[in-house]
Amino acid sequence: MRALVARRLLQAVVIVAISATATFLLVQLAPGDPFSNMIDNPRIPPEVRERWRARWGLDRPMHEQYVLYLRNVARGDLGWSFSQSRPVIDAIAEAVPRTLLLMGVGLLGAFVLGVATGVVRAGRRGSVADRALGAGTLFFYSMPEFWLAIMAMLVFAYWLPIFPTSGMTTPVLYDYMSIAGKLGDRLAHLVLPTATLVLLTAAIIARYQRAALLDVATQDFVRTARAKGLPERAVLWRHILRNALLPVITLLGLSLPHLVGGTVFIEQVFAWPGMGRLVVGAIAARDHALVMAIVVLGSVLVTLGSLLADLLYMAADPRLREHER
Amino acid sequence: MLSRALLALVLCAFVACRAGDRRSGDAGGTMIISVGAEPDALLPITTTSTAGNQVADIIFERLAEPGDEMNTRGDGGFVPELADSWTWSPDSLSIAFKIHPNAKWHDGKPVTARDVAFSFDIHKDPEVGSSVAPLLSRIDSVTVRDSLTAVVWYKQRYPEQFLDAAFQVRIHPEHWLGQVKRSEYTTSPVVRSPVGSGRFKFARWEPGSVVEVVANTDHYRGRPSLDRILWSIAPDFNTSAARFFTGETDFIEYLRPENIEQLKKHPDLSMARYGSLDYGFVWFNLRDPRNSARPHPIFGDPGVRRALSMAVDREKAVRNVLGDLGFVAVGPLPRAHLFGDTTALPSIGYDPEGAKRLLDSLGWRDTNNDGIREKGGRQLRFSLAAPTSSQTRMQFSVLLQAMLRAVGARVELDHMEIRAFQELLARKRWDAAMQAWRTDPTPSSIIQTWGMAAVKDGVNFGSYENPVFDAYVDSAASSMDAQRANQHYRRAYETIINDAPAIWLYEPVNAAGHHRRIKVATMRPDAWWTRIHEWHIPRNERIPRDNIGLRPAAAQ
Amino acid sequence: MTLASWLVPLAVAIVATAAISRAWASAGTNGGPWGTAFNRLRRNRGGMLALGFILFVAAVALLARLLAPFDPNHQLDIVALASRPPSLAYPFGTDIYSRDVLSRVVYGARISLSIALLAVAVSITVGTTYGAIAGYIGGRTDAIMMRVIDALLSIPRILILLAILALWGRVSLGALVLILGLTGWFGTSRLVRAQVLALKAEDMVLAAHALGARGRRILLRHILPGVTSTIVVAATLGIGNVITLEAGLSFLGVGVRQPTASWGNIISDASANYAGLWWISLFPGLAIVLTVMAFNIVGDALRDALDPREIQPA
Repeated sequence: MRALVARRLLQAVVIVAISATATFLLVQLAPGDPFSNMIDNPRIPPEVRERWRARWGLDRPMHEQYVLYLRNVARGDLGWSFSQSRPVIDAIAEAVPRTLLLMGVGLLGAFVLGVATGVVRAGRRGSVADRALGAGTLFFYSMPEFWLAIMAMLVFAYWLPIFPTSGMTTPVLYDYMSIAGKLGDRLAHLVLPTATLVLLTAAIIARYQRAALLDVATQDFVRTARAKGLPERAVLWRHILRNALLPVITLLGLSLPHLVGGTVFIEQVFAWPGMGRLVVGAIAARDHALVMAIVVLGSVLVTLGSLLADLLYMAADPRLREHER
Repeated sequence: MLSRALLALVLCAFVACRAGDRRSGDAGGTMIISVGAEPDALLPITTTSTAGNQVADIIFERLAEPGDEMNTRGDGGFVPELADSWTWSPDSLSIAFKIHPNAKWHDGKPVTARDVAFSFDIHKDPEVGSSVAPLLSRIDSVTVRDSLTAVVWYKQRYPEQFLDAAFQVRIHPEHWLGQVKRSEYTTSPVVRSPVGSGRFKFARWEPGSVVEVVANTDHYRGRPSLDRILWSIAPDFNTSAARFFTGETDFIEYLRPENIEQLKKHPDLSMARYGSLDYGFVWFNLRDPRNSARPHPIFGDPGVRRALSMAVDREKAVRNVLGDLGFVAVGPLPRAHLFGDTTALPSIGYDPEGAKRLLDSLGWRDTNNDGIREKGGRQLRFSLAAPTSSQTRMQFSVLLQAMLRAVGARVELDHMEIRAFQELLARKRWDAAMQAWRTDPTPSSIIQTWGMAAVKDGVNFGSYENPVFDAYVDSAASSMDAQRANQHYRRAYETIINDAPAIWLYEPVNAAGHHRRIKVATMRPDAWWTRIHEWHIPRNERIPRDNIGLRPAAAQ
Repeated sequence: MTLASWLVPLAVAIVATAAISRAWASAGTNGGPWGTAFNRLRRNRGGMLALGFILFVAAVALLARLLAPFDPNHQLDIVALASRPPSLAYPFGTDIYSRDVLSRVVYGARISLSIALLAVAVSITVGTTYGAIAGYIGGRTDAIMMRVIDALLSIPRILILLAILALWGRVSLGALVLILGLTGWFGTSRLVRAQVLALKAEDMVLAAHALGARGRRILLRHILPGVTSTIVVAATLGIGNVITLEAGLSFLGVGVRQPTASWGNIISDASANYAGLWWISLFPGLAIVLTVMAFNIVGDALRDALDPREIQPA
């Protein structure tokens, strides 16, 4: 088991290294020499510029730059963001927790909604509920994130002004609220962006889920359970669901890239100050160091997530544990 | 006798108390301003952004402020600020400013004449590169007579001597700013927490989120009415407007036509119109972006510029973008600078057929029938940049793209964030750009934007250079006779309009939106915030956020 | 043109769907694996409806010039006709530059669909080649090639796209297609590789090997046909994905640029006032959702039809 885990960890590191490499190549291939623009920019304070020149090896040949780049990324030194007047790592460190909050709540909600949908559909195959849910899932799966976000904002923030239109907290007033008030304010601001994220991600999970549950449902032991005369409910909950849970954990890993990607549009529409809005702002400001760092970070997040999912899977699946012997 | 005197004394005391009462009684309230772009800096000498300028102006002070009538000749139209009084020398070649004895910096140290001398020094220093440097060229030096008296010495007599000294320079503290290297004013972290002498002092700046200033209760002219002012920073204009309409903010300095419609649905919001000293235009880069020694391959030819100007229906464009809230610009100046003279300036009218004929005659023809003209192997194709912070300019750019397409020019739009836009302009690597200037109360500042000296050291990024234009502006600024001066300005305007270094597009009418509970004072066209210390919120109209008081924000 | 001209794409769609249905029926009677698949497809009512809708949209895109009442970039009258809500004269209303939204949506179909089709073509080609080679060679090379794919799959696609578009600035439509295509082949390569591995072990291939046939011949003659079904399903589902992606990028302002209309950037034109200009975001948005739904339904139907393990409702 431990060997398996170690191997998996190593895999994760390799994956991140490869994505970092891909990012590096992108920068080198782009026109206009963005690499030196990132470091030798007049908007950067002179001493900072000198330091970064040395650290990133601006005057060295490409293969040396590559090695220095990998070392810097590993150390968390991601360059200077001139649109924010501070190191990239600081800007990201501030934005990531906000995106994680959105993603975390979104993932939880999507998981519950998606699995519930899948279970209901698998249990009542062919019924009206099944078809309605199926249509609904397909509808949300086919919808562009930004469009759902705009529609949600129009309906619940403009026409029926229940929720705030943007941001994480009410500007100003938040700082002077009581603890309860602050919590309420944060929750109110969370509703629309997470609801949008939940609907979209749940649709994705439900689609993967359908395949996973169908697989399990055909397996012999399910048929045996049915033949044994167990009530359908028991079949559903005890056998199908528990065995389908394992692939669902993998599902969480699979849906991560969608989650990270989805937040880009949702944060843009709702002005949520997280990673997604940071990257769009960085692009508009031509702040390439920040853009590249976010790409690498996105890859790290996804890798960590799927690593976690895999470890959970290994912990949960007794068959894998047997491999030790 | 005694009883009458006593009565008078009591009455006086009563009245004085009431006056003070009204000030301290009505004091309080929080105002949140919506802005659609992040400030670049909060230091007056370095900031070039709208939001940055507002905050800097409120934290720092000038020697004297222009009055509401904006009479900038002589010193009659000015209101004392840091300078409590001033005396002219008999030969009018120097003015001695006496600083208010109680004036203090926000860190408690007194304001001295050395700070005044220091401020002038840094504004003229090429290492700092302040954009007002060309405007201070007629000032020779500033000396310190005693701790509270600074003397400004001039090279010559001219009508706006007082303006240049009192208005163009905001006073910075030497003991605070002196510790920063001059070349690092834009990048040093020290300047991100500015120390000024104004009625509000800096509280915090959270990038991308909020800037906050709080009332300076020790101000030598009395505390301001409001407790605090915040700027809620939105990523673009539309989000900032949305925040205003949902009640998250109290004030927005600029409403667009579609916002006026929205305003009617909100009874608690109202509109306040104020004059404008802004004008917007399509800027042509007269030099080749790849090699500034050569003229621009397309815009270097004044005929092409005239033709492109003829292709634009400015009247209709202004109506589409600004509705009733704007006029067609008359030139590189707001109408206010014409001082009532209604004789028309030359203008290039809308004549698309004429434009096509002119382009044909200049050798730009569509030889391969793809709808785009060519000449010498080069297409009549160029990029037009616009900042995302201005919905107005972005909208104009799309309209212009279609209008220019109709005469055979292919325009590629480049919408980018405001700072990237400003950097692009400064690096001169652009073809055309949607730019807008907010002018000073005096027309003489035009030398700052279109003068020859400003090409190398200033903001004349389009590289317009015409010594005749410079000469007219110079004569106007030196002429002691107002009539003669206006005539010179007119000649200058005619010269530059005929040169067509830009398409003079629009002059917005400013309509600010504000919550009804905020009682605003007169709003000056170039700086609506100058009397912000007088804006107040009556007690009976306050809402929750007004009652925060002066206590600091809870730690996050 | 006129309302009647809209009957043309409708007719085309109905006729084409009927013809395809007929063709599948006759193929079905011939038996074989494809025959069973075609039969199943025919009977999938939802799938056929979706197919009809796709053909309708395709016909609209092809016949754009006939159907769009105006030139999509033509600013009709920037003073009198800007921001008009839907009416008889302008069924989808006009945008803030007085351009007819219906015309823009019709031409937008052309842009959005062709970008998606071409991009997916690129993805499929690259992905199939990569996956087939990896699967066929097997062993260490295969393992390394798949590791690289894992890594590339871990970067959220939107971030890579944004990074590329940030670095390269303004790109032409062709470059956009290429970029979309080259970021979307990773999943396909995995699927193809799996199929190739499965097929490699089949008797037919082993026999060919024994008879001395060379690698390339085996690949082309025996393995690729087996992979076709996977590719077709992946392509159909992929088109829906790319339509959504391109719409998103155009919405952010980095995809298709003004004045060219794509369903995504029409929506961004409404950002000045979403509430007041609801028609500008509603119609292109519906177009995207319905078209993507149709592609997904057809893709699902294909997958169900071609999957031998499909369970029939009890």
